Amino acid sequence: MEKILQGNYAIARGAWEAGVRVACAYPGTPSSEILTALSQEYKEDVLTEWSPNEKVALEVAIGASFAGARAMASMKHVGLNVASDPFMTVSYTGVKGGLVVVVADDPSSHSSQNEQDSRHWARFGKVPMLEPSDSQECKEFTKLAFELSEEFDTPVLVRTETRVAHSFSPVKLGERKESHTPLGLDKKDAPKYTMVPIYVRVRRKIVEERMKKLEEFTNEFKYNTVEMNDPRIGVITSGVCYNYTKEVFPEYSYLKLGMIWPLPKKLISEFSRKVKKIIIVEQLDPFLETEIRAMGIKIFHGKDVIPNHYELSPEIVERALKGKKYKPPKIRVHTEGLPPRPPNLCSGCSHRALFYAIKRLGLFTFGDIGCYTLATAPPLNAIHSTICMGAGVGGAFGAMKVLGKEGLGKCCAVIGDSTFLHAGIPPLMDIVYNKGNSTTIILDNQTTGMTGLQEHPGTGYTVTGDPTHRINFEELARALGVKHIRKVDPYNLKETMEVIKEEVERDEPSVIITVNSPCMLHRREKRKFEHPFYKVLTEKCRGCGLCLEAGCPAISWREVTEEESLTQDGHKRKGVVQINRLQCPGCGLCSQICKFEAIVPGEA
Amino acid sequence: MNRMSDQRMNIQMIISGVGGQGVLLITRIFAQFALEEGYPIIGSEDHGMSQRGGSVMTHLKIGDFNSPLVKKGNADLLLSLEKNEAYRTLPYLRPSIRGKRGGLCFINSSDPNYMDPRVESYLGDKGIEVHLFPAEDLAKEMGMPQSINIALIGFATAHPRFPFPYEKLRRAIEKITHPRFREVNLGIFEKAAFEGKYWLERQP
Repeated sequence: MEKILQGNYAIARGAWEAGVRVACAYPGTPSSEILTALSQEYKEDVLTEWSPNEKVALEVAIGASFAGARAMASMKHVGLNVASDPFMTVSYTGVKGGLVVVVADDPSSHSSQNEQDSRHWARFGKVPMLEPSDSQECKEFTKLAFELSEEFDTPVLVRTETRVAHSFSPVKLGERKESHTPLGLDKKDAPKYTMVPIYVRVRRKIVEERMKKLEEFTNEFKYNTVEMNDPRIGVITSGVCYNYTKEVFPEYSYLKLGMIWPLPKKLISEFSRKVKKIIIVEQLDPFLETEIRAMGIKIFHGKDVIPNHYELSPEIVERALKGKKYKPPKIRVHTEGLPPRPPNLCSGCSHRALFYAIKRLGLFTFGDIGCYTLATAPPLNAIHSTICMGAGVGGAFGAMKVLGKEGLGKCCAVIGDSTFLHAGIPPLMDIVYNKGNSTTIILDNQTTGMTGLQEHPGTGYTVTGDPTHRINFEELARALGVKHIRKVDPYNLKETMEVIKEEVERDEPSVIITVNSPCMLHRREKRKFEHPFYKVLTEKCRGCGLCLEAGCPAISWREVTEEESLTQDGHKRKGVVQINRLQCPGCGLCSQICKFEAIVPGEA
Repeated sequence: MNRMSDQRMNIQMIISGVGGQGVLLITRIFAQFALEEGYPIIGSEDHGMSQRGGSVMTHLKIGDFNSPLVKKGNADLLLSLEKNEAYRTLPYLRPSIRGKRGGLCFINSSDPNYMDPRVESYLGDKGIEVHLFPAEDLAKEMGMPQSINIALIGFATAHPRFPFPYEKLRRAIEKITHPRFREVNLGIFEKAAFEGKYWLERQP
């Protein structure tokens, strides 16, 4: 049977067919759908979990593997940074049940804080890496990854990127086959599983031997394919870059690598002798190029013409390789005047209300990773730094450390509920332990918003929707030793500003938690607003634009004509604001901002 | 990995709109069509940030293609649910080259004069046909304002060069849309196709 599957769903399918028993993940674009698919479509056979973070996800998968199960952890590229500690060492111990780590890159950083090339992790961690180029390969390669993992006693990386993870094409479905590895824990085998120095040195050698064996294997690997066409030009490529190049230059010869680490050096040498000139097409870093150059092979074109940043496309590859001869069919339409449509906080979002308060207080805000990062954009302009998950909490503490009392009332950290549980607890502990005085604001929207509403330990539900223990942020902060914990309703602007002001001025650690502020897209939790929507009393609106500073998508500005150029009480105005009733959920923030009582509740 | 099929269909298309308008649903309808017909298909969806009211665009290719992305100047079809996003994605349309007619474009707009006449005549010179259709009005009138997507493709089926047959597309909609909204959606599709014919007859 054949089905059209998105790359991520195909990976889930491949894992299921391979008999995976345990799958763990922390959501991250473009990898999130892998676990969603497993938890929805294959929950009878697979134990799935949203883990608090990627490190935990991988550790749980490792434990399951040691107990004999096939296990998988999936994450985005920066997730593997978090999981790198267990990753680097499980390479030494190897596995019992097949262990696969899926890592999804995000070239052009559509939805990420950086644009790193995860292929380096394969070389760095001495772990084989497969790279599928379409959905069928996503399924096949994931299945194969489990087999290779058991055969070579190693974790196996499967690398995708946005255009593989979120592309769709038909996939031939197969049946599930349970793994032959028996479940259960083995007798103590410290030299294999206990990485203390004496055994590390033993395993270190085994890792090198394993990589040698894998290199022999990959020279014959059926998914490292040679397509001989015109022998004058041979392209070495992998993943979606193969699809791009093949479509533009079907006449060239190709070596398409399905396994990109270790490299099939013999196969590459043979291919390079069969063709006159070698071109390497790869996205992001010159990973293949560096290795192949080091083999002494002359490269005709690589990163000299192919960009080393942002994502590639068939057009970019064509332009790069054709140079001046590139003359595409062109439709010239001026798109400069179009309204830009950057992603924005939803209308009614509790983050908007909170960040408006912060903006008014003029604080330097150490931000974090989530929807609320969008508050950095104008007109809110309310986030001043974003590094990675958890970095806001530690960052604000660091700044306050050097500023001392001078810093009081000047900065704060903001972090979402899911992100706080991911990486915010240790830095909050640090603030208390090391006698800091910074303020951490936990924006509790009761879900993982940006990646599409996933559960986490603070929501009270598991990935399959089972009720479970729900973390209480207040108790948690208290247990860490925070004495000043405040709760605010972010939709009450005045109170929110007062509470934040008091806490950032306090010379002690403090935590502010937003309450009754679920994500506007939340399916289960809904904030009930007092009024169905708000409307503008056009006769009163002075067109000052203050409400527009909140950047609500439901509010817009229109210029007024001569006859409308005065308010009811005779003030001159250039325009007025209007509220789109269909978009307005009635949060009332704008009416609290308006100084002229021109925004009032509407009646249903 | 391409499959060969007996009948040939080589269509490259772009579907554009704003997050929440149902761009992905249209994509799935065409994908279902291709699957039933045994045509090879590949494409790419937008995810992540675009769900927060941002621009959304999907690429869809039916036939023997390798890459999931459509190159600018190569799309046979552009379906756009929002007029500004339509502008933004116009450069993907294929101009007429060597006697081959240019791309075909269907835009949801209740304002028949929204497009700058200079752009319209420029596109005409390039052999590109643009059709505006009040898909949103029709969907609202039928009580499903969110079904602009279904209305737009219904309208498009009325065009003689639209490559997807009405009946087969209807079956795909039946399969893909939520059972709860199936009847209404099929009604919208039918009405749009009917009005489409009438609409096109009135075109110069």
